[in-house]
Amino acid sequence: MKNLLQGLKARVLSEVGQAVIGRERETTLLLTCLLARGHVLLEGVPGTSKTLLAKTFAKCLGLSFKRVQFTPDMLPLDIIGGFIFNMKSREFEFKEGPIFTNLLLADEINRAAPKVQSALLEAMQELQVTVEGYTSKLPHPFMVIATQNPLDFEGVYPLPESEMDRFMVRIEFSYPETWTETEILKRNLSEIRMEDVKPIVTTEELEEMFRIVDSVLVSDDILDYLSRIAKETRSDHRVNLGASPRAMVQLVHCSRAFAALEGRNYVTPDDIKKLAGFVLSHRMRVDRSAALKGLAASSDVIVSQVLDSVKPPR
Amino acid sequence: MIGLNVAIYAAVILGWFRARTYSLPKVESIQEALQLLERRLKRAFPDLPDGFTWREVVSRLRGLNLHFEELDWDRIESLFQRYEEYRFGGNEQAIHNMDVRLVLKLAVRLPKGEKFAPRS
Repeated sequence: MKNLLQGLKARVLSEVGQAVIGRERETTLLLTCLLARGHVLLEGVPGTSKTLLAKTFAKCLGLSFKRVQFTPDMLPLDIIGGFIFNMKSREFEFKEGPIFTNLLLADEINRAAPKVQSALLEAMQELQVTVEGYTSKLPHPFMVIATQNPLDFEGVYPLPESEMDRFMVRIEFSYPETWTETEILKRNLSEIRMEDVKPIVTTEELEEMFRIVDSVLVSDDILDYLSRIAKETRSDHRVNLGASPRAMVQLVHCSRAFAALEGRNYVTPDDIKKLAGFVLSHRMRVDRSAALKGLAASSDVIVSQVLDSVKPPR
Repeated sequence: MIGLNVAIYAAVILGWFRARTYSLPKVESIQEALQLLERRLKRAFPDLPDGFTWREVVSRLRGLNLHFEELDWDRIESLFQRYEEYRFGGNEQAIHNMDVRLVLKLAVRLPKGEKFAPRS
């Protein structure tokens, strides 16, 4: 187990690194999320390699990949598909939309109207879509990688809490360090050839990895620790909406995948602490009136303070 | 002659004092050694948050670059890894023949008045 998953992580980092520079942390989180059967929200200003990372990641894992640019005039059928009349057979046939893929890149998801965003809810939670009573299963594995620009305020529809809760992790893309940026500039002096990125894992290997992640142990003490973290986020007076039970379930799954990628068959409190910020902060709603009382803090800071105050099993 | 006597007595007293300070307490198990380390850590680092983990402590102490002579950090890290394997992975074998003196040595050599949080 140790070799298989640690080897996969090293190979993915190396292969993705051919096209995307300085995004090792983000790549590891994407891989963790894929193995944990979760979805990812990438947040950052334009031009910070969000789309390139998603494309390269899908290619090196040999997964089918589709990209949908979300726009205000989109309809749910543009994503999930719909019934089209077949002139030959004189019957309505279901035509699959771009969601029928392993990895869906929902670019600028907050530009689409809420009804389109909510069309993704069933797919993300139940891994199936239903159109006019007809239900169709999505391929396995299925992962949504959505991007959004946090600085856009015009012509956008902020994702509702229910949608945010569907994303296992939110990864913030900041500007690269100076040396990384120099490397990026150097790399872009010649064309980046996506053909150079090769699939490095077979479907069978990927299935085996999912089985390994499912076998990772989570002790009762760790589960108790998670419950105490959840309780603490809900009782913080600066927070209107704390971590949901779904958030905690996803944190467990995410931690199992992370532990497996580290070559362990058990979850430690350090796994929880490393991932909690990515899994919890985007689901929590900070009380705006707290700012008036001088208690303003971002959800990231609140999660970090909660982790500092809750005693882990030792 | 007086100078020599002073030097000898000073060395003896210093040696006794050092031995007393760094003498290892007696413990029955790794759990007991870790409880002792936890108590000493709280005394040494008043700003130590309740939510610390052993890995964080070891990594931070190693990074502090204090005078921890005779401490083999690789062995200490490996010990904590084995303890985790037992504690969270249920592997009883992992703590067999564990050298708890490593934990005790760390506990008695902790500095005083240091900040646990890195200085910004």
